[in-house]
Amino acid sequence: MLFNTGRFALFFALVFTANWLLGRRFRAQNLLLVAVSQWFYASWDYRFLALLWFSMLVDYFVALRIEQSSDPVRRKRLITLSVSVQLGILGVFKYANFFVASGGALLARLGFHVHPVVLGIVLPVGISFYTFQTMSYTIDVYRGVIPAERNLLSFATFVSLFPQLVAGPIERARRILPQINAPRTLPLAEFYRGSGLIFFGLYKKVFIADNLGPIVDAAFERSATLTRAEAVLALYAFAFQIYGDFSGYTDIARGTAKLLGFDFALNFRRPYLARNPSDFWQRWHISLSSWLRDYLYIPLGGNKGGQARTLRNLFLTMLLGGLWHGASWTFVLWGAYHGLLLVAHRLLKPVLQRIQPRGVLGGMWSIARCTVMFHLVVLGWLPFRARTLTQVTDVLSGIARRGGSLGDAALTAKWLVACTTLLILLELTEELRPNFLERWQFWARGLVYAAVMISILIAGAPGGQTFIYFQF
Amino acid sequence: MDRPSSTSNSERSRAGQSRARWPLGALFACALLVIGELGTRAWFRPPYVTLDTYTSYYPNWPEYGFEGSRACFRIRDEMSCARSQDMNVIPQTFPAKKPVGELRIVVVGSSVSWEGSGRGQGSSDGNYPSRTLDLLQRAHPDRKLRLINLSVPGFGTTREVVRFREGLEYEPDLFVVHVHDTNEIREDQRRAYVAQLHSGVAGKLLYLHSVAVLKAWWSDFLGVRAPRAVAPESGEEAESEAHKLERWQTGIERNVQTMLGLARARGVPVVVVGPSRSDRRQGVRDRPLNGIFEAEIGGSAQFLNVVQLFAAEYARRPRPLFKDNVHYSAEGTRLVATALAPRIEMALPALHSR
Repeated sequence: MLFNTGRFALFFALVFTANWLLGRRFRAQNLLLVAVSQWFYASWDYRFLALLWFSMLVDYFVALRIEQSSDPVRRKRLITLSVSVQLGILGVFKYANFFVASGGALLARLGFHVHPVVLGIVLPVGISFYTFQTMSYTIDVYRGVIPAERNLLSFATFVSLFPQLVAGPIERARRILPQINAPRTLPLAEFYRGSGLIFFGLYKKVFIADNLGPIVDAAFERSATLTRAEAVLALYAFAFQIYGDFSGYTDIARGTAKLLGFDFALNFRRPYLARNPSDFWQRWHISLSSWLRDYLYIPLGGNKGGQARTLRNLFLTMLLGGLWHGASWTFVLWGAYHGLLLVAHRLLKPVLQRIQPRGVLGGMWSIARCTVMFHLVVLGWLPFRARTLTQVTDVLSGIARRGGSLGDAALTAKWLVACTTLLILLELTEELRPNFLERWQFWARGLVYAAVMISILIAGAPGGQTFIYFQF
Repeated sequence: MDRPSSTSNSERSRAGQSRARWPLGALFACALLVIGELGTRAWFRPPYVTLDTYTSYYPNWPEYGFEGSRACFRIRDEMSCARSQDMNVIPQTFPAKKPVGELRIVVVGSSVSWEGSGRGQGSSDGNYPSRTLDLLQRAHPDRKLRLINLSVPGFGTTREVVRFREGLEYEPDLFVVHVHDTNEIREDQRRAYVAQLHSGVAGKLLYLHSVAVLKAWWSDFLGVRAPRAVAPESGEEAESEAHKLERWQTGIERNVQTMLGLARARGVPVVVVGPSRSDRRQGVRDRPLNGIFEAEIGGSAQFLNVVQLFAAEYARRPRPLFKDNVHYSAEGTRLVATALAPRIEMALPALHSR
C-alpha cells in the first residue's frame, strides 16, 4: 500500500479516527497501531510478517537478558547473538545471491568453473530498515544508554509502526519508546504541521519524482547511445527524482506519524545545499548516516587513533553504507565514491579553512562550494541509479563524448526547470530564512500552498508510483 | 502548516509554544483555487472537456461519456468549437442562434470525416464534408449553407451519439453520420481509460476548468500532447474475438438506430456514410455492416455505401482511393463528396425551396 494512493488515504483516515477515538488510552492506541501496522505490512507480502516478528522477538528477549545480566562475557555473547541474527537475516534475504554470484564469477576468472546455487528469495520490503532499528535498540541497551523495554506491545509498536516500517526513517528507541509509553496528544498546531508535511511530501513525490522518473528511465534504457547533454541532464533529473522520492516519502511518514501523536526525527535538511561531503551526510538520510556514525564509525575507532585510521574508518563506513542500500557492485561503488569524498574532504579541510575568505567573497565562496558539492553528489548518483557497472561506463562515455545532437536533452531540460523551480526556490529561502513560511503573511503562504496544489493537480503523475527506497 | 524540512529537531516543543490558530494560509490557498475555478469558468474557453457525470446518454455503456461535455462552447452569442482532450474537433465558430435563411449540416463522425487528404495526417483541410459543402454551395449559390463538423478522430459510435445530441442543439437541417467500424475498439480502450483516470476524488479534480486550462498551458510549455485514450483492457473485457465483434456490431447498430430515432423525433433528415477499408488487390474491402445498413436504414435515412462506390470506380479505373488503410486519398475524398452531395440534396428539401 503506497503512501501516494487513495487506498492509503482511506486506510490512514480510518486509523487516524480510531486512534483518537481511543482518547488518551495509549496502550489501547498501541494495540491498534500494532494491529494496523501488521495489516499494512501484510498488504506488501504477508509471508514476511513472520520474519519481522522473528527479528523483533529475538531483540526483545535478548535485550531483556542483557539488562538482567551483569556478567560482561554473557552480555557480550548476547549482543553478538542479536547482531548476528539481524545481520544473518540481512545476509540470507538480501546479500546471499549477491555474494554467491560474485564468488562464482571470481572463481570463474581464476579458472574454477562452479555452478553456484542461486536462492529464489524475494527481498522482504523494509528489511534493511527494521533490522537496523532493532539492532540499534539492543546495542543501546547493551551500552546502558536505555533500559530494556519490558512491554512487548510497546516494543512491537516501536519496530512495526507503519509510517516508518518500510522505508524509515530509522528511528532510535531512546527517542520513540518514551513517546510510545506515554499518553499522546495532537495539538492543533501539530495537526497543521503533520498535514503540511504530508502535503509537501506528496508534492515532492507525485510532481517532482514521478514526473522526472520516466525521463531518467528512458535515458538509462539507452545508456549506450546517450549524447553528452542527454547524459548530464539525465543525472540532474535523477538527482531531483531521488530527492523528491525519498524526502517526499519521509515527509509523508513524518506527517502521518505526527497526526498519530508521534514525532519522528528529521531525515533530510536541504541536502543539495551542502558545502562539503561531511555536511551532505548531515543533511541526507540523516537517520541512516547518524546510525552508521554511532554503530559503525565510532565502534571502528572513529577519529581516535590517528589520521590514517580515521580515514580508513570513514571509507569503510561509507563502503558498508553503500552496500546497505543494495546487494550490487554499483552500490558498493557508490559507497566507495562517497567514502573517498569524505576522505578527500578530511585531508583538504585544513587547506579549505585557511583559504576561506570573509565578507562578500565569503558568500561567493560558499556558493561555489555548494555548487561543486552538488555536482559531486550528482555524479555519485550515477552508480546508484545504474543497474550494472557497464551502464556506469556507458553514461560516463556519453558525458565524455564530444559533439552529438541535443537529442532529448532540450525536453529534459524543460521538464527539469518546470519540475524543480518551485522546490529550489523554497529550499533556498528555507536555508536563508529557516521556517520562513510560518513567518510569512497568510496570503503569501496561501500563494505557496496554491502553487503546490496546482502543481500536483496539473502534473501529478496519476497512479501510485512506487518509492525508490522501498527496494532497500 | 509547516514546511517539511524545518531545520529544527525541536518541532514538538515549538508546537507546544505556538498558539493554535486558523490555518489562514491553507484557507487562502483554497479560496484562490475556488476563485481561479470560477474565473476560468467565466472567462476562459476550456481547452479540455469537463467531466461532470456519466449519464444515460449511452445506449450500451452508461459509464462512457460525459454530460455537459461539449465540443463547442457558448461564448456570448457564438458557439466556439475548440480542441479538447481526446477530442480534436475542428476549430470553428458559428452563431449560437441560427440566422434566418441559413441551412445547417452537422457532421458526426471519426477521423475519416475529419481528416483531409491534402496535407497528410493531422490536417482537416479539404476533408470530404467540406468538399461536399463546396459542391452544394456551387450548386445552390443563393442558399446560405453552414457545415458544423463535430467529427473526432478515434471516435466510435458510442461517443458519436454524444456529439449527435450536441449537434441537435445547433438547430441542424441535416445530419451526416459517418460510421467507422474499427473505432469501436477505441471505445473499449476509452472505457478502461476513463474508469482509470476518473476514479476517486483526484480524478474529479483533474477535470476542473481551471486545472484543465493550466494543464493545457503546462502541456504547451513542455510540448506534451494530450494523452490518448489508451488503456489496457480490464479483466472483464477479456472476452473472445468473436464475442467482441458481435458486441461491437450490435453496439454500432443500436447507436446508429439511436441517432436515427433522435433525428426522426426532431424531423431532421440523416445521411449515413458507411465504413470502408482499403484492399491492395480490389481497391476496397467490404465491411459486414454495410449490408445491415442497406437493409435496416432503408427509408428512414439516406445511406451512402462507400464500398460499392469505390469498388465500381476501382473496377473502372484502378488507382489508390485510400491514402492509408482507412482514410481517403484526394481522389477518394472527391468521389465521396460527389456521391454525397446529391444524397444531401435529396434528403434536404429546404435546399430547393425558398
